[in-house]
Amino acid sequence: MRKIDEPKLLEYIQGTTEGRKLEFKPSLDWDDPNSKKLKEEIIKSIIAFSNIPTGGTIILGIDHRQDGSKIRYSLSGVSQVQINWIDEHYEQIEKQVQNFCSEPPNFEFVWGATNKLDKMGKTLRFILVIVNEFVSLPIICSTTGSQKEENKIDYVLREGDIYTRSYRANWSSKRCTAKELEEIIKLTADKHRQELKLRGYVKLDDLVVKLKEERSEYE
Amino acid sequence: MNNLNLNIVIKKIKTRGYWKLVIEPTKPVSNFFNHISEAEDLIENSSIKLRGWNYPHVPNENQQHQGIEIQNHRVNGFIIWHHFLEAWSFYDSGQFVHIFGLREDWFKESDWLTEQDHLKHIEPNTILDFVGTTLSVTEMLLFSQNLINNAKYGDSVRITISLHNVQNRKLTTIDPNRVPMFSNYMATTNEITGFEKVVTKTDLNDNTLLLAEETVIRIFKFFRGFNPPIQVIKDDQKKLIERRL
Repeated sequence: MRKIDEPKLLEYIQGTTEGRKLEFKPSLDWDDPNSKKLKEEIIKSIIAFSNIPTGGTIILGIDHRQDGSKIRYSLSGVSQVQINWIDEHYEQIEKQVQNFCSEPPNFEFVWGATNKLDKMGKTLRFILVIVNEFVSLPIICSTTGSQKEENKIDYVLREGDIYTRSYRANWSSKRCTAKELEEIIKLTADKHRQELKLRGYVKLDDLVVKLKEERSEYE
Repeated sequence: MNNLNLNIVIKKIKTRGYWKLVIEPTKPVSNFFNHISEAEDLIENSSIKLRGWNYPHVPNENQQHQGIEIQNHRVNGFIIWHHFLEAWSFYDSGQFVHIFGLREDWFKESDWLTEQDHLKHIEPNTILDFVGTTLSVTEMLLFSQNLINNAKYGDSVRITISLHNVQNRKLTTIDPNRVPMFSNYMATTNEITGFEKVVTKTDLNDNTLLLAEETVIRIFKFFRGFNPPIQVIKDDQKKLIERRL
């Protein structure tokens, strides 16, 4: 697993807040059965970030709790043992993520360390999951996962869902609304248009634009 | 003096229900016309002459109610005459665009009809004629077939046929000799795209009537509750081809 330098790590964390392109999650032991729900929430966010322009980042090692209307973040970091485990089981993790995805998502785990964020000067380590936007086709959840709560038929991950970073609550990954689905379809269409251009079909693209302009008074 | 021009006619047509046909080349064609003046002949030679009024109408001269304009990169034709309102342009790219008003929307203002004629009493923007739809769609595709065969499109064209300003219209028949519709079949949308695809010259030559029939059925499905009678559509197409209308 690649290590990022301290200034880069601070760029991701200092003064930031969760939003459409950034999500905080607490540390986890990836292979611990008790972490299954949290693990699936991370996979859900990987799918969601894949489906928005330029992707986004999940930072592991930041807890949050609701304090009235405010959210309080606490930097707990992750352990070196957790970093090492992910490093040693990278392929297994990739396969687990892919198991929930219609297309392989383009993501990378990196880690970084700093002592500048802790009042006592203790070294804090974080794992970052850097997710890039999808390559050709948007990612659809292909497998149903765990129940959100016991005795409730609602799942963290559900087969057939398309997740995105929500416009309404941009700190979370949710099923697409109509507007968000439209964004994904446009992104897909643009990518395919670009691909046609790269393959030398530029003239065709230009022709479509020209013909549309030509008949503009009839539109 | 002729004050009528393309834009005036387009604006007037768009105030009520209208059809639109767009024929586009699927690849750039250099020197589509040897000279732009050829465009008018191509349309005239490709037009459909099966029921008293050609599709599309090509004005033979500029008059108060119609005009033909030859410009650098296109030829335009337009007419406002009784219940016939049409505007078309044929560009040197090969693109052909034609819009024309639904006749049923203009009967009321047509001097062609007398007060005794029931058509004269049809309120604009209220109905879509069942038979007129079949005939217009069939003519549009027959014309497209002729044009692709007569002009330098190559092997394929993109054809789009759409119907505009039809929300809440009732599908009916204006022919008094036909059994009327028993229910109110109302349009559920304002614009209907009946046909939009790239077709090869072979497909168009082999299946014109079938493509038209499928288009008509697709359009009728936008009229809630209506089950398109396929045999009636086929029979109306046959009567058109055999000039029995």
